[in-house]
Amino acid sequence: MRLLPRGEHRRHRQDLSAYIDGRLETRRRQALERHLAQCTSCQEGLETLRRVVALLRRVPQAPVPRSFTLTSTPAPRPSWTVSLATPLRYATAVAGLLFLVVVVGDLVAQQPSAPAAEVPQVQDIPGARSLEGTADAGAAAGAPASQEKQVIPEATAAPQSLPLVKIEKAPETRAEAAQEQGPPGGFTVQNVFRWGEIALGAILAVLVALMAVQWWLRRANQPG
Amino acid sequence: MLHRRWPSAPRLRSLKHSIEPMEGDEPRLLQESQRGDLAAFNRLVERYQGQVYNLALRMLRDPDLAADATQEAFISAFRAIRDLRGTNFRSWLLSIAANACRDLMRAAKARPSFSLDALDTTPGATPASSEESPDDYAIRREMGRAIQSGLEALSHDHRLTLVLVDIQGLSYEEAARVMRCSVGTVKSRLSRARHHMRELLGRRRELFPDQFRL
Repeated sequence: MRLLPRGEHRRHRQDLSAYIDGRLETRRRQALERHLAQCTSCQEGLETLRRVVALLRRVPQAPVPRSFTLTSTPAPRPSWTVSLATPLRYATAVAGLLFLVVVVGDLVAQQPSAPAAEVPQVQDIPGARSLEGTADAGAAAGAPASQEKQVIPEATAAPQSLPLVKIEKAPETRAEAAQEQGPPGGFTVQNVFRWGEIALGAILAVLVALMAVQWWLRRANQPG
Repeated sequence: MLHRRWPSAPRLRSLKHSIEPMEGDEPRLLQESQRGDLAAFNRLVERYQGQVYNLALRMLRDPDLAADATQEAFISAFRAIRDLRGTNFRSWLLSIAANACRDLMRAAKARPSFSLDALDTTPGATPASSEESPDDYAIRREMGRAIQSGLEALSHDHRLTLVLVDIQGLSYEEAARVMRCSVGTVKSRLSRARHHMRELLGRRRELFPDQFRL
């Protein structure tokens, strides 16, 4: 017997079942028969497989425990309870998952940026002087001199606590900040998440209600 | 409307596109069932309840669940019979039964706790044949149990394929219609199931008579 590649030998074994039933196409049947003429292992495999099939075909049929004839005409099942059962289930699962994603996304999007601390105005800090217009201060800060006023309180003898320092933004910066946040209720990240939550929550509620109705109708129409 | 005359069974089995024939008055019974005649439908029930119950029993392994699945299958079949068009009734009915088994299996999470005695042809009774000795009957019963244990070890799809083709005697095409898959899929599932059964039954070879010894 010549040695066959392992894949070819395995393919011949896989063909044995269809060969027993006469369901192997001609070319493969002829190839298998040529192989069987040379391979005792596959011959034995074929013989044992035939015995298994013969055994299974002799398995006795169990007697029915009772008659299954219908004693009355079953109530018609509303078609949508059957045809929509599985799609409803999947749709509810998907809607629930999306809702969860949107809620989590909303929570993540609301993570701080910490609000700027409220500080007294420059004029409220006793002894404080503004460095506005001071060329040295602007150069030392390394910031555009026109953009910020830095307020440094002068050292005084009396107070122990340090006064708060406020960095005021120029109007141009405020306008830019306002533009970033957008008008109230407009197309912002937070609004998108919020509307998404509302929409998905509504869809989910409708789907759950439909599933509850469908479940109740199926139980009501079950026989017995 | 099922008004075609079907050739006799032996000839049809040789055709590649085998549509299994219906016995005698079956087309008439189907037409009347489709018009809502419960008595006609019950004649069909009596004709096929054995096959449906045995399919359910092999799949669910529990006689009570199998009875539930069988009853549910016939109820569903009566509800849906008006929609039956040009399809073989047996394969259509077994498809409904297979779905009922799957639904019950999911709902009940059927455990292998069923009594193998249900598979005895005559549980607790005299041997089937007067020529069969009690020893032979006991061996035959053990063979049945070994086969059922082997079936239980198969996956759902492999088990269904083996039951439909080898135990219930369906053709590849009918089995493909029942399982809503291709003939090629039936062929490959059947091959794997048979090879698997051969391995499992080979471990109990002492149970089998010489002509079946593996």
